[in-house]
Amino acid sequence: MFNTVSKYFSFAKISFREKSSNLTLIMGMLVILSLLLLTYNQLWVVVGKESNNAINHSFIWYLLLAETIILSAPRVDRIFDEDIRSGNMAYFINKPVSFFFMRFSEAVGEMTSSFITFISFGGVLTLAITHQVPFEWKHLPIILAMCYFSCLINLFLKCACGMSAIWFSSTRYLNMVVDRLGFVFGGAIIPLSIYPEWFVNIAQYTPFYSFYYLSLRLVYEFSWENLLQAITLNIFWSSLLCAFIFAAYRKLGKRTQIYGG
Amino acid sequence: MAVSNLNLFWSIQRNNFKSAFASKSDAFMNFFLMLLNNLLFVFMWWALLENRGSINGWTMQHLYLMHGINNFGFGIYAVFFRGCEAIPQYIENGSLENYITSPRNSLFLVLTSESTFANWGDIATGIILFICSGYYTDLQNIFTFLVLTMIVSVIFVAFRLALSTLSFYKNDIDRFGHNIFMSFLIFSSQPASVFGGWYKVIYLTIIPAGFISLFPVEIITDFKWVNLAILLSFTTALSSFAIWFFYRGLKRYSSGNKFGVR
Amino acid sequence: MNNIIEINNLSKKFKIKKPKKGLFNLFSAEYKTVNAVNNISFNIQKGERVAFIGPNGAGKSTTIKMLSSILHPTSGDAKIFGLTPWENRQALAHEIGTVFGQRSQLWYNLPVKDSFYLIGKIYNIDEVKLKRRVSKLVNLFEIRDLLNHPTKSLSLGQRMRCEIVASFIHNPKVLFLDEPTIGLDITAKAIIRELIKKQTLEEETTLLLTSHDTDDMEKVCDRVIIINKGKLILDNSINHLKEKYLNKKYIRATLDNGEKISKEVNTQKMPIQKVLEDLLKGNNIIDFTIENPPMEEIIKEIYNQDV
Repeated sequence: MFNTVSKYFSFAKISFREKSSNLTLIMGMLVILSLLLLTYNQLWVVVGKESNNAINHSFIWYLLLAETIILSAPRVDRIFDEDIRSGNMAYFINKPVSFFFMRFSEAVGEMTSSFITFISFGGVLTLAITHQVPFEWKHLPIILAMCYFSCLINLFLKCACGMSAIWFSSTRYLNMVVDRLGFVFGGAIIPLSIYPEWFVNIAQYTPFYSFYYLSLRLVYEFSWENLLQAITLNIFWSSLLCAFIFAAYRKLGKRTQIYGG
Repeated sequence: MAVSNLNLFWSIQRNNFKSAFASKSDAFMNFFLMLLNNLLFVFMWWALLENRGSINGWTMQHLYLMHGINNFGFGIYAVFFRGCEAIPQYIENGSLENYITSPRNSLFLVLTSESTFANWGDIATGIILFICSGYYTDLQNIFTFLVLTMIVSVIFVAFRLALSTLSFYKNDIDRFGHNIFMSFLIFSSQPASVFGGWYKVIYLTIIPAGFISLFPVEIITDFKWVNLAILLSFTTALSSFAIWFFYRGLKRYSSGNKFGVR
Repeated sequence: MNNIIEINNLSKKFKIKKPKKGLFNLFSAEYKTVNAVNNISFNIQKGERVAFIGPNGAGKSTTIKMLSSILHPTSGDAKIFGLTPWENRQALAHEIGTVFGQRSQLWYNLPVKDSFYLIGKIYNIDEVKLKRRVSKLVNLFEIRDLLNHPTKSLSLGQRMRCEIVASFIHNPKVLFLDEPTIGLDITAKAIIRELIKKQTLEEETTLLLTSHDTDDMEKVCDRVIIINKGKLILDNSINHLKEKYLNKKYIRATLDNGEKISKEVNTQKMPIQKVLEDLLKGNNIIDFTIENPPMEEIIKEIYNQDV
C-alpha cells in the first residue's frame, strides 16, 4: 500500500517540479491571467458606472478563482486522447503501474504547481485592483481548499472528455465546449445573477454550477451552510464523473488492440 | 504564376477537405461542436445585454456584428492558412526544408500546409451572427461584411505569421508568440467599447485587437472613409512587415548552422 | 529442457475497417480480416538470443506484442515461465523488459535521469539499489552525458541507448526488443548491437529481437526465426543460415572510366579476397560496396530450396 502511494506520489512530484521550473511557461500564463483579470475588471467598471452602482469587487475575486480553475488544468483530455488513439496506453499494460493513475498523478502535480502560482500572483494582483478582500482571513484556507477541490473536479471532467476518445474522435472540440459550458453555467466572466431565471434553473443541474458557482461564491458569501451545500454537491458530481471514467477505463482495457507489423 | 498558385491552392484545399471527410461523422461532429462553442459565448453576452441594453453605447447588434466578422475571419484563417502556426514546429523538426527546396513559393506552401476542418464552424457562426445583426437585408452591407471578413482574416494570418517567425531568431519563443496570440483573441472577444485610456493604447498597438473588432464594426454601423483608410493601411503595413520578416528569418535560417543538423 | 518461452499454434487475426464512399454513409462500415500471425510454434531456452526476422508486415511485432501481453491472440497458446502473458500481466511484468523501437518509454519532456527514476518507482526498486543499477548501466552504455537532457533533445541513436537502459533497469530475465535499430545509421547500429550483446551475455538475459535488418541477427544472436506473411518459414542457428543463405555477397564497383561492375559472389565457393584481388588487377576503382542480400532475397531463396 505504502509502495503504491509512493509510486504515484513520485509521478506527481516530478511533474510538479518540471512545471515549476519552466519559467517562460509560467510567465506566459501569468500574462494571460493578468490580462483576463484586467480586461474583465475593466468590463465590470464600465458596466458598474452605467448602472450607477459601484463595481462589485467581490466579483473580481470570484473571477480570479474561476480563472485559476480554468487555467491551471493541464490538458489531460489531449494526453488521454493521444495515448488512447496512438495505442501508447497499451504499451504500459505490461508494466506494474496503472496507466490511468500514472497520468492522473502527473496531471495533479502539474495542476498543483499552476494553482499555487496563479493563486499567489493573482491574489496580489486582485488585491492591487480592488484594495479590499471580501472574505475573512480565517476562512481563507477553507476557500482555497474548496477552490483546489474544484480544480480536481475540472480535472476529472477533462479525463472524462479524454476517455471519450474510445467512442469518438472529437474529444478536442468536446473539451472546448465543456470548458465553454463551464464559463456559461458556472458564471465565470458574467455572474449567474445576471442571466434570466429559466437559465439559472437549468444551470443548477450541471456540475459547473456546483464546482464553480457554489464553491467559489464562498469567497464573498461564506457560511457553513453554503460550505456544506458546496461540499455535498461536489462530492456527488465527482463520484459520478469517477464512475464514468472507470467504466470507460475498464472498457478500454478490454478493447485494447494495436496493429503491428 | 498567380493562376498556377491559385490552382495549387484549390488542389491543396480539395485534399484537406477529402482527408477531413475520411470520417464523415467526425467531420460533422467537430463542425457542430465548434458552432455550439461559439454560439454559447455569444449567448453569454446576450444574457448580459438583455439586462442592460447596452455597454458604453454598444448594443447586441454591435456584438453580433463583431463576433460575426471575427468568427468568419478566424474561420478563414484556420481552414485555409493555419500553417503559420506550425512554423516553429517545422523549424524544430526540420521539415521546413521541404518547403524551401520546393519550386513553389515557400511562404505560400507553409501557410497552406495546415488546415482544421472544424473551423468551418466558425465561418458558419459568422454567417448566422451576421443574419442575427439584421444587416443582411442590404446588398451593400453584405458586400461590406464580406470585404471586412477578408481583411480580418488577413490580419489574423499576418499577425500569427509575424509571431511564428520570431522562432527563426530565437529558440523556444513559440510559447511567447502563442500567448500573445491568445491575448489577441481574448481582447478581440470583448465589447470594444469597454476599452478606454491605457487599454485603448494597448488595444491598438502591441495587441492590435481593435483592428479586428472596433474598426470593422464601426465601418458597417457608422461608415467613415477615414476608418476604412486606417484599417486598410494597418492591414497592408502589418502584412508587408510579416512577409518581410518571414523572408528575412528564412534567409537567416538557411544560412545558419541550424539547417541540416538533424 | 529448460524452456522459458513456449509458443503453440499462436494466431492473430485483425479486423480492418474499410472506409465507405458517399457523403452520407455516416455510421456503417465494412470490415476485412487480416491474418497477421498464422499458427506459429517455437520454444526458447534460458539465455538464448533469438532473432525474429522478416520483412515489413510479416507479423514480428504482433507476435512480440502478444508475448509482452499487450495483445490477445485469436487462438493458440503461449507460456513464459509457465504463465500465459495476457492472463498474468502483473506477475510477468517484473520478469520481462520491452523496447519498441518506434515508441518511447521515456518521458518526452523530462531529463533522462528522471525517467529512469520513475521507471525504478514503477517497479518498486528501492532507491539505493536503483542508483547502483542505473549507474552500472549508464557506464556500460556510455550515456552519462545524456542524463540531464530531456528525451526530446536526444538524437535517435542516443535515445535508443537510453531506451535499452530503461528496459534493463528492473533486471528482467527476458527481453523483447522490437526493431531496436530502426532508422539508425550504420555506426549507431553497430554500437547498439554490441551493447545489447554484452549486457545480455553478462546477465544471461533471454533475448528475442525483431528486425528486418539481417545484420542485427548476425551480430547479436545465435539463433534465427524467420517469418513471412504470418507464417514461420525457418527456425535454425545463425551459422546454418549463414552457410546456406547468407553465402552470397553483392559487389558493386565503379571504375575511373565510368564503367560500372556488379557481381554476385558465392563466398562458400570463392573467398571474397580472391574476388577483390581479381577485380583490382588492371582496374582503377573509384567506388566500391559489398552488400548482404536483402531480406526479401533470402526468403525467396528459402522458398525455392523448399520446393
